[in-house]
Amino acid sequence: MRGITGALLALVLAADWFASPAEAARKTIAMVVWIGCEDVCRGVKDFVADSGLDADVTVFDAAEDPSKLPGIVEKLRKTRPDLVITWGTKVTLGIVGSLDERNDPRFLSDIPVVFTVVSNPVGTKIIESYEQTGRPNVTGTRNRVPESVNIKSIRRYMKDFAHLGILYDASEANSVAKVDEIKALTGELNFSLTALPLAAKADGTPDPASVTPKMQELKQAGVQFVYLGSSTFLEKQQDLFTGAALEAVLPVLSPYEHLVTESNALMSVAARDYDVGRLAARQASRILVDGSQPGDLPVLAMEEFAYLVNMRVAKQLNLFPPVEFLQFVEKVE
Amino acid sequence: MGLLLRRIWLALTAVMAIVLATLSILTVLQHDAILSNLIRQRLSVVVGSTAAPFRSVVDLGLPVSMMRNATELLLRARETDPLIKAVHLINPSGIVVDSTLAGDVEPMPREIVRALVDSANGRWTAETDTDLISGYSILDEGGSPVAGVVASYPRIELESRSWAIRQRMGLVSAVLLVLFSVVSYLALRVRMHGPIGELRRIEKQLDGSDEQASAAASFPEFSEMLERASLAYRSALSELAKFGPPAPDALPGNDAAASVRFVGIAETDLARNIARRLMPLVAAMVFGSALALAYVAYLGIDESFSPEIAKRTELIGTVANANIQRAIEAGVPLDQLVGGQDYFQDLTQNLPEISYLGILPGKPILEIGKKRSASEGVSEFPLLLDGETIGTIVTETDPLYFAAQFRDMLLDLSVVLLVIVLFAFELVVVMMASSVTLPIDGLQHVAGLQAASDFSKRLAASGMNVIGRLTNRISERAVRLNGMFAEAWRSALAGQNPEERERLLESLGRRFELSRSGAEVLRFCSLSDVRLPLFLFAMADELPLSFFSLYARDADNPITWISPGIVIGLPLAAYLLATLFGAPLARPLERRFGYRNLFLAGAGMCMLANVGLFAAGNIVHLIACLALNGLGFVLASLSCQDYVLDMLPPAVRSRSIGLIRTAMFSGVFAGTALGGIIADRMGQRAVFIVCAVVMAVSAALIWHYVPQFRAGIRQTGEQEDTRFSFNLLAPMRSARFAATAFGIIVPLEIVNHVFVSYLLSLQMDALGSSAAGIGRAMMCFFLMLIIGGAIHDKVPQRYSNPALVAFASSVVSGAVLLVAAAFPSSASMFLAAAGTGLGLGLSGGPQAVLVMDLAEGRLSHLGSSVVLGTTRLLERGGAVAGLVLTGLLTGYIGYSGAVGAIGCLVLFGAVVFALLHTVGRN
Repeated sequence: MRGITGALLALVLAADWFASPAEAARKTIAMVVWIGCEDVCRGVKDFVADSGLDADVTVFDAAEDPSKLPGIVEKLRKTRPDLVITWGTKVTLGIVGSLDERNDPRFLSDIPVVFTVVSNPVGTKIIESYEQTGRPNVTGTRNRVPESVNIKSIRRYMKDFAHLGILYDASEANSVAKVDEIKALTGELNFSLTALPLAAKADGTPDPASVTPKMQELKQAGVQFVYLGSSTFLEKQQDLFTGAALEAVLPVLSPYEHLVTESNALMSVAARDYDVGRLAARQASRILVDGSQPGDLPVLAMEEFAYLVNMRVAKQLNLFPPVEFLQFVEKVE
Repeated sequence: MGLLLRRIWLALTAVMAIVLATLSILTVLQHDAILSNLIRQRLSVVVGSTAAPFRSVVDLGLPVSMMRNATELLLRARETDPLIKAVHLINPSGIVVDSTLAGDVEPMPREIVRALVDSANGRWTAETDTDLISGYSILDEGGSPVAGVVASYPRIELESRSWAIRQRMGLVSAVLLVLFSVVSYLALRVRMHGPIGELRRIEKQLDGSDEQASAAASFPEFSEMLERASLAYRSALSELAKFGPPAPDALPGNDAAASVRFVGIAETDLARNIARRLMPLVAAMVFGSALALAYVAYLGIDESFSPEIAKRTELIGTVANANIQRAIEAGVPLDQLVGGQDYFQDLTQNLPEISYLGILPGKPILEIGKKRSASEGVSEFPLLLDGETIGTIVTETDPLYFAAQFRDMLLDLSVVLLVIVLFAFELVVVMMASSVTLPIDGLQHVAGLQAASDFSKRLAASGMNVIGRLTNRISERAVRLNGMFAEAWRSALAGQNPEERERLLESLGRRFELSRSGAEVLRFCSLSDVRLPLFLFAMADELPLSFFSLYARDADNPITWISPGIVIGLPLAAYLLATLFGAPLARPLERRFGYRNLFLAGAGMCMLANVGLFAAGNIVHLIACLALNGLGFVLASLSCQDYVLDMLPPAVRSRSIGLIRTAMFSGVFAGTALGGIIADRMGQRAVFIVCAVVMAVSAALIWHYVPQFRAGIRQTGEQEDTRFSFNLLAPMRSARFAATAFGIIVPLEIVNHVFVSYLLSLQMDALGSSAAGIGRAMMCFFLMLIIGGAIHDKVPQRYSNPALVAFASSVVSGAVLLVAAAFPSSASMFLAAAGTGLGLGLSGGPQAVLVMDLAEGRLSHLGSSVVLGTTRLLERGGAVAGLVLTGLLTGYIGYSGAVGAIGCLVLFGAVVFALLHTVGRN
């Protein structure tokens, strides 16, 4: 009897010895978002579920309040998730800080972080380059086409295009960086740029009331096409922004599809937000499943984009896409 | 039916059967090539239209792989034709990025990737064992391919139409063969009734049963010759009868112990007389049947061509309609189509078959091109909105474009027909020679000897037709007299007073050329022994010419330390070097092993090389195989040339060499024209097996027609010197030899190997000629070369001074090259191709005569081996040096300058030749 007990004990010990680490520990992923769990967030969750990644996804919502971000960092330090996904430039800067702040104790430096929906991570100094982030615990995804593609797309749509307008949020580093990026292309792609900052409220945040007059100002400056650039504020105020453009008879190009599908932007050259979320989760799985070090992984680029045109808006603007363009764009009624 | 008539008729029927079968096979291959091309062109309309949005996306700066709706675009393309098997989007490595097929798709084969990368204008097509493929390469701003759209179409349609045309061609060939064979028989009976009757009467006259026959003979010279031969025979018989009883009649057998004398034979009057009667009939039957079949082939191809054109224009309209319809359905008003003009412009630019594209009715909303009033070629496609027609897209096809396409197709078919004509001509020559002229020439030759009281020669037992019987009769006499003569010697030695009898017999022997060892058997050598084999051999050698560079380029390249451009040229360099070093070996090898064995050895090497090329895995194998091929080719072709040079009477040497060159270049022309067609339908590797088989046939013909004996037995009977030295500079001491070699031979070899094989295509390409245009210029060169040879053949001997003809040929060649250099254009290059072809054709025979005259005259102390060896070394060495120098020159003075430089060289050479030749003569 003692012998049988001994043998069973040995079997149990052996089974425990051969058990894989993955079976031993379920992973935890924390996703920090700015405006609730939208399509990107759902994409992350669905990928985790579909891919069989044994992980729980916990969402931390900053609810558009930057002051909540330090508290979220503290919570993350305490709960020690296996990986953090950050949504947007503001959230990412709030969680990991800029390159200059990489050793600042206010930010995470010992938990793997995957950023997503960051329009210009190099320009906002979150990373050194797309190939080498320069930070051992940080990698991310890219979900936007090069800005030259956007400008060429406008020209393909509007043959005589020569003047671009941008409204930007001076309080958002990414918004300012995007204006600089576009400005750098004016000579090479032969167009002029009028970039107007939105008026700020007392707390420094942009004033929604300034959107319509600023749009009129762009119209008066001779702008032919408006580009959203990068602004979480304008993205949130999509109806106000695109409505003002429509009122000023100005077409809008957006880097986000939902401004075309859900609002009044004329055109977008973008990836689906949902697919962006899945891409971020894929990058996370390379760290959690394959054991890769975040700092060793180049920023993963989105692989599928689409040209979307809102035909209703085109009709309102009396600005129909060229026949050749219609061969490959996806149309929204 | 007379046996002779039956023999000629059977031979003619066999020739027609071979010609019709070959033409059937070639036209079926040509039909398949044309139809395959047409289907692929139709498919390319779909592919071009599908590639347009991907091209736009690339222009905008995104990789095609990033298009989210790529699959939808590909599926849309596939829906335009339910037979389309699949449409793929591939990257430049051949990996399928997107496809209408579900699941993982295998990467594209190597030839598809190669076509994608190499396509200069975007469009390309290919063919695999299972599919017809059309592709469109999408290029970036720098012109490098970044992606491709590929559509595949099953071969079912092609194969079913091909099967139908095969059946039709087979049936029509059989009917034509029977028809022309019956007509031939009847015509032969009528045409040959007279001559055969005459020959029969002559036969009776020989038998002594119709003493009056000669009075009615229509071959008076031959008849009179036989009369004299009979007189001599009777005289010899009566003289020998004094030494003993006459020997019984004996048939001339192929006694192995009898010595054989090889004699070159020129055409005799009797043979010419009968050939003149037969040739027009034979030519009419052979070429008539070929033309009739070619017409049927033309109808078949036309039946495939017209519906394909209709389908293609219909498809273009459908594609344009679908795209405009898409805009309308998206809500774009018909009168506000943005970029419609650009879209139509792009469409008509990419599809030159459309001359007009417009949206009607009423005042055209959009239109490109000029509308014709004729309704032919007009198609209409309604534009619908909510089920109602709101406009119509009107397309008009360009009749000139299709006329040009049809003309190209006819030209391709004409080339096949021309090849068949050349082939048929060679067959007819062989058929006429073996059935008619050679037996008659032999008969007349021996009769002539006997008429001159020479009974030392006889012919081997021949067939039982009237010519064979006559030959046997004549030969019997020589056998009988020589037998009696030998018997008389035996009895003289055994009898009394042998010295006196010996003296009388010796005198008798000298008078009638009698020998105790019996009559020698004559074996005739003629030009027709080697014409057809050489034609086939040259054709087989040139079959891979049209694609060999591509074959070499696609081969694996382990020689990575040398530039790929140079590596591709190495097989050809190896071939040229092998011919350079192999040429001087031909003479000594002929002396040692004989013409026939040398040809067979050379052909064996070539067959082995072609099997090696078929199985070759990399470029090193190709280099080795081509070197072996070059060596084999030069030995085999020179053995034929030397056979003619050595065996034929000097009087017909120039003409014979001209005809040999004509046969050889006819083969080159045929090989160049057919190689592409065969490779297109059977694959490049299969062509090498075809080459090996054709070479085997050529070797078999040589085995059958050329007797085995070693070189050095000359037409005149004397033994050639057997010296051979490697002192190849020795002939250069003769000013006339140097003048001939450096003034005529080397410059014209440079024209042949450098201008035609190298500069012509490069210069015409630079001048904007199409590949087809370049091919036609090449063919024009070969055609003129053949015609030049034929003209020289027709010029009476007394007007054909070799030196003068060689000089004039060089002047013509040099002049046209200078014109092409001074006024560079496709037309002037075409003229240069024609002029140099004519020059080379005219000068072929005279060059050989000039060299042989020297070899047998003032340079006879060196031996012909040395003289010919030096000439051949200079020919090939000059070509190689010319190639290298021209390659260097073009970097400095361009292609036009290089053409001009060759022209100057040829003219300078002609002047030097004229001066030195005159000095040497004095």
